[in-house]
Amino acid sequence: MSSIVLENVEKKYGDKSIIENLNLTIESGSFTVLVGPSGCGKSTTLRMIAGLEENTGGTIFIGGQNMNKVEPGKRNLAMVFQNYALYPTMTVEQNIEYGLKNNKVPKEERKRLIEDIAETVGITKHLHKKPEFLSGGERQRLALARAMVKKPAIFLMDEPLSNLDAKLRQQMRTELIELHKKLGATFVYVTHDQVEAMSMGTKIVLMDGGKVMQEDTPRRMYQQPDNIFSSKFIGTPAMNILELQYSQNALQQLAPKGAKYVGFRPEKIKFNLDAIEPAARNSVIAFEGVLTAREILGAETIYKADLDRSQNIAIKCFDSLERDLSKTTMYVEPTHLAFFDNDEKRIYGTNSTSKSSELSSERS
Amino acid sequence: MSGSGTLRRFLPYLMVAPAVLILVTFYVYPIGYNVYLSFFSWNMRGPMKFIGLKNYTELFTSHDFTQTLMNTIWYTVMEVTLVIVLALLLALFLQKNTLVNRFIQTISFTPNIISLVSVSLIWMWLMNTDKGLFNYILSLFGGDAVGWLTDKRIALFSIVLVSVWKSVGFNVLIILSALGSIPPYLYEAAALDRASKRSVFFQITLKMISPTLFFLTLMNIISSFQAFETISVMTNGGPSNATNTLIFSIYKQSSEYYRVGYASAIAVVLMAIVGLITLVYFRVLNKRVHYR
Ligand SMILES: Nc1ncnc2c1ncn2[C@@H]1O[C@H](COP(=O)(O)OP(=O)(O)OP(=O)(O)O)[C@@H](O)[C@H]1O
Ligand SMILES: [Mg+2]
Repeated sequence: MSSIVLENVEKKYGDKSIIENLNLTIESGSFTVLVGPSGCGKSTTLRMIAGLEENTGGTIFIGGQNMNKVEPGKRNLAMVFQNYALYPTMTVEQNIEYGLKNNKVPKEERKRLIEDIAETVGITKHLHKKPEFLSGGERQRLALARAMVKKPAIFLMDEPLSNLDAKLRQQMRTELIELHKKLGATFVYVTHDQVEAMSMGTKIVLMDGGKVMQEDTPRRMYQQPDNIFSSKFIGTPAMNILELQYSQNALQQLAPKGAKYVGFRPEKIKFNLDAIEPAARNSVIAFEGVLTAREILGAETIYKADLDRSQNIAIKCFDSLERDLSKTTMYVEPTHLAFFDNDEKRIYGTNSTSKSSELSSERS
Repeated sequence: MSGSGTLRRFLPYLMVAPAVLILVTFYVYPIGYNVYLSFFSWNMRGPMKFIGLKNYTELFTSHDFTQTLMNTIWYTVMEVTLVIVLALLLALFLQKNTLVNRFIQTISFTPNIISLVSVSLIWMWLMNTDKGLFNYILSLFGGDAVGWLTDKRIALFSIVLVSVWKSVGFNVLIILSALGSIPPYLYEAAALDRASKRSVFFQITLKMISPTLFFLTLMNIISSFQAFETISVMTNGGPSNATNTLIFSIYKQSSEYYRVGYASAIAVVLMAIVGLITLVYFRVLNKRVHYR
C-alpha cells in the first residue's frame, strides 16, 4: 500500500507559518495533482512528503506508517524535480545507476534495468553523454528514467514540464498519463497550470495560502466549485461571479437564504432563447448588457459584457457568428447557477440547484 | 582604388600593433634575451663570451643543481599537497558558517595580507633552535630541541610550513565559494537516491569543486616555484644547500657570483618546467575535469 496521509501537518520557517493544519489523504494508485497559485505551499507540501523538508508539526503517513523520522531515501519514493536536478558530473547512464548502486543492486541487474528504462523513455543513444549535452526534453526523460528505475511506490513531481515548450509539454503529458496507468504507482504532481491539473489528475487538490480549498475529481472541481476561489481558479475564462445585491430581482428571488454571490460559467450563457431547452425557457434568467470586447480563439469566441452597476461578465460561445459590440440580451438557466455565502463558500441543496443538471447532479 | 585597398589590408595589423609592441617589449624580448644570455659567459662587466651549450652541460652534471632541482620539486609537492588538503578540510568545516566559523574565516585570511618578509622574520624567531617558541613548548613536554632551520633534514619542511600558513587562508576562501555554488538540489537528489555521506562527498561535492581544486593546484605549483622571500630571509639557501631552490639559485648565481649566463640557463630550465606543467594542466583540464 502506498497511500499518503497528512495529519494536521504544519510548516514554519522561523516565525513564518507557511502551512497550518493541513489534512490530506492521497489514495494509493491515484494521480493526484496539487495545484494553486504561486507561493501557496505546493512545493513545500511535496518536499515534506519526500522528507527533504521536515514538518514542524503533525504527522505524515505513507502506507500507514509514520514517516516523521524516516530519511528521504527510505520512504520508497522517487522525485522528479522542477529543474530535474541531474548530476552534472555523471553521464546519463551513471545518473540512472547512482540510486541503484546505493541500493546495492548487483551489477548485472543494474545493467539490465538501465537498458530497459533507457529504451522505455527513449534515451538509449544518449547513455554516454553528460546531461549538459541533452536537450530539454531529453533531460526531462532522463529525470523520469532516474526516478522510474528505482520502481518506487510513489512518484513525486514538482512542475516537471514547466521548462518544456508547448508541444513537447502536451506530448509528455500524454506519456505521463500512460506511464501512470502502466505502473499503477501513486503519482503526486505539482503544477500551477490548471489545464495540466484538469487533463492529468484523477484527483485535484486545490491549495491557497497553505490551505486546501477543495479536493475533487477534475470534473467535479469544474462543475461543483466549493467556493469562489475554486470557481475562479479552474476554467478559462473564470466563472462569472456577481454580487446579488446589485443583480436583478429574478436572481435575488432564486437565491437561497444567506447567499451573497451568484456564479455561472461563461459557456452557460446563451445569446438567444432557441439555444435553451424548451422546458427551461420560462424559468430562464435574462441579463441586459453591452458587449465590450470580442476575442476569437478558433473554435470558440469569448465576449466581455458590461452589466448594470459596473458588474461585468465573460461569455464563451461556440458558433461562428461575429456579434456586434452593442446592447444585447443574454440568458442563463437557473440550474447552471451556483450560490455562495458571505464567506465565499458554496451553498448547496437549494431549490434552484437541486434540479437535475450538470451543476448539481453528481453530488449525492 | 589601389591605395585604399592597401590601407584596408594593413589596417588590422596597424590596429593590433600597439598591443603586439607591448607584448614583445615586456614578454617576448626578455624571454628571448634570457635564452640568448644562457649561451654566454658573462660577469656583467667584462665582455660577453659565447660558449654554446656549456652552461647547460655544467648545469646537468653539477651535483648542486641536481640537489636544487630536487629541493624545488620536494618543496612544491609538500606545499601544494598540504595547502590543498588543509584548505579543503578547513573549508568543509567552515562551510557550516556559524559565528565561530566566520571568525575563523576572517583570521585565516589575515596571513595573506602581511608582507612575506615580516612573516619570515616572525617565523624565524618562532623556529629559533635555542630561543624559539616552538622548542620552548617542546621542552615543556620534555622534548628535545629541534633544529627547525638548522637541521638539513627539516629546514625545507619548515619553510614549507611558513608558506602553507601564509596561503591556506586564501585557498580556503576560494574553496568555500566553490562549495557554496554547488546547487543544494543535488544533495536532495542524492538523499532520495540513498547515497551515503562518503559517496555524497566523493561523487558530488568533490567532483563539483574539482575545477576549482585543479585551478588552485596550478596556482600553488607556480607560486611554489617562485618561493623566494622565505628562503632568503630564513635560511639563505642553507644549511648546506638544503633549502636552495631553482629561483633562489638564479638569484645567487647572478647577484652574488655574477654568473649571468649560468643563471640564465637555470631560468630557462625553470621556464621549461613551468611551461610543461601548464601545458599538461590544460590538456588534463580539457579531458578530465568537469566544467559546466
Ligand atoms: N526556505 C524558506 N524560508 C522561508 N520561506 C520559504 C522557504 N521556502 C519557501 N518559503 C515560502 O513558503 C511559501 C510556499 O513556498 P512553495 O515553494 O511551497 O510555493 P509553491 O506553491 O511551490 O509556489 P510556486 O508555484 O511558485 O513554485 C512561499 O511563500 C515561500 O516564500
Ligand atoms: Mg513550487
